[in-house]
Amino acid sequence: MPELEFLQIFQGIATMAAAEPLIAIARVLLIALGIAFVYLGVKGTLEPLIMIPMGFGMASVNAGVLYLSGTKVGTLFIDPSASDPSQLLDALQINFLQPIYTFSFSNGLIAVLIFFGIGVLSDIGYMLISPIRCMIIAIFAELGTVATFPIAVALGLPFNEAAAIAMVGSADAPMVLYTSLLLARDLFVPITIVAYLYLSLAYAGYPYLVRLMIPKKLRGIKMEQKDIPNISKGEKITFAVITSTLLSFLFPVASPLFMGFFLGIVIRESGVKPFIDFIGGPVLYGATFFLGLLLGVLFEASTILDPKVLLLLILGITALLLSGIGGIIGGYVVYWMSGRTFNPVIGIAGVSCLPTTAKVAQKEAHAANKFAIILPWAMGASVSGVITSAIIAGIYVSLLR
Amino acid sequence: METVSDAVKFMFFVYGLAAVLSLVIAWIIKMIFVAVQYRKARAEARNGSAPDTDSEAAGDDKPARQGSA
Repeated sequence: MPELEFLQIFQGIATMAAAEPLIAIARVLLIALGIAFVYLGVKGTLEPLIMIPMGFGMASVNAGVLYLSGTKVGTLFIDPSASDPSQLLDALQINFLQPIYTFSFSNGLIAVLIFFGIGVLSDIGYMLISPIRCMIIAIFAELGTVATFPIAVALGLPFNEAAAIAMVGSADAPMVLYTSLLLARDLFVPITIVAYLYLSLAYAGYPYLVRLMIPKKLRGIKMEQKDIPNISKGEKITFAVITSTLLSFLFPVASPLFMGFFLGIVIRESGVKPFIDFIGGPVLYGATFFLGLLLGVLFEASTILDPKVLLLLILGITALLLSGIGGIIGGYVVYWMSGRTFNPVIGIAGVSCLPTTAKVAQKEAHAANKFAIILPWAMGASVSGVITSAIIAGIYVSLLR
Repeated sequence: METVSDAVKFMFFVYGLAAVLSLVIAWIIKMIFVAVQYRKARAEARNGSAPDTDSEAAGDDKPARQGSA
C-alpha cells in the first residue's frame, strides 16, 4: 500500500496551508461571503437569480484549489488568463466552465443574450407615451455614469478604467459587463461583481433617497390616465428598427447591444410566441444563471487582493448614488416643465434597470397616495434609461477603447 | 498624461453628446407617432367613420393601450 499523507488526500486544505497567509485568509473570507450571498439570495434580500449561482461559485472555487502539477496550484473551473492557442486548448479540455467562458463570456455574447431577454420583457409603448419627458429624465439619471468618470481619474484610474467603473451608474449590469470587457479587461470581473452587488443593494436604498429628496405631497401627485395614447405594434416596431439602425450606424462598437435590445422588442411586438417564450425563458434565464456562476468562479482570492477593488467599491456606490440623485432632479425638472402636474418620483425610474426602479417609483407614490398610478410613465423613463445608457456606453467605448 | 481637467472636459463632452442623441431619438419617436396619427386621421377621413385601416393593414388588430398598472 502506498504511503499516504493527509494533506495529499485533502488538497483544498493542503493548498490553503501552503499559501501565503493573506491569500489563505482571503480564501476563507470569500468562501464565507459566497455562502452569505447564497443565503441572502434565497432569503430575497439580494437578487436571487444572480446571487445564488454567484455565491455558490465563489464558495466552490475558493474551496476547490488543488495542485495541478508539482507546486502549481489552480482549479478545475476556469483559467481566465489562458490566451495562447495551445494553452487555451488545454484549458478547454481541462476546466469544465472554460468553454462557456471562452465562447460566451469573454466576447460579450452573454451580455447580448441578456439584452435580447431585456428587450423581450420591455414594453417600449410606455416610452412612447411621452418620449421627450422620459428622455429628459433618463439624461439626468445618467449623472453618476458621467460624473464618476472625473472622480475616478482624480483617484488615479486611467481613462478607460474610469469609464468602465463609471458605467455602474447606468444601473444596467449586462451593459457594465460589456463595457468593462472592452475598456478594462483586467478589471471586468471586480467591476461586474461590484455592479451586481450594488444594484441589489441600491434598490433597497433608493426608496430612502426618494423620501429624503421629495416631500410626501409631491410623491402623491396623481397622473392623468387620459393622457395615455393608443400605441400600435406597428409604431413600436418602426421605432425599434429605426433607432437600432441609427444607433448602430453612430456607434458600431456597441451595435451588438443595440441589436440585442431592439431585436428583443421587435420579437415581443411581432407576437411570434415560440421566439418570445424561447428568448424570455431559456435564453434569458440560462444566460443569467451562467453569468452569475462565471462571475462567482472568477472571484478568486487573488482578484479581491487587487488594491483597486476597494477603489472600485467606493466609485461604484458613488456612481449609483449620483445617478439616483440625478434622476430625481430630472423628475423635478419635468415637474416644473409640466406646470406641476408630473410626479417627480418618476425620476428615480430613469436609473434604468428594468423594471425594478419603476416598481420602486410606483411603490413610493402609492405609499404617499393610494390613488397615484405612475407605473406607465415610470416604465417609460426606465426604457429611456436603457437607451441613454447604451448611448453613453457607445461613446465611452468608441473614444477610449 | 490624463489629468482631472481633461477628464472634466471629457465628461461634459460625453454628457452633451449623449443628451443630444437621446433627444434626437425622442424626437424621432415623436415624429413616428405624429406621422402614424396623421395617416390614421387621413384614412378615417377618407373612409368616413370606417375603423382603423392602417392598423389592420399592418396586421395590428390589437393596439397596445397602455393604461393600467
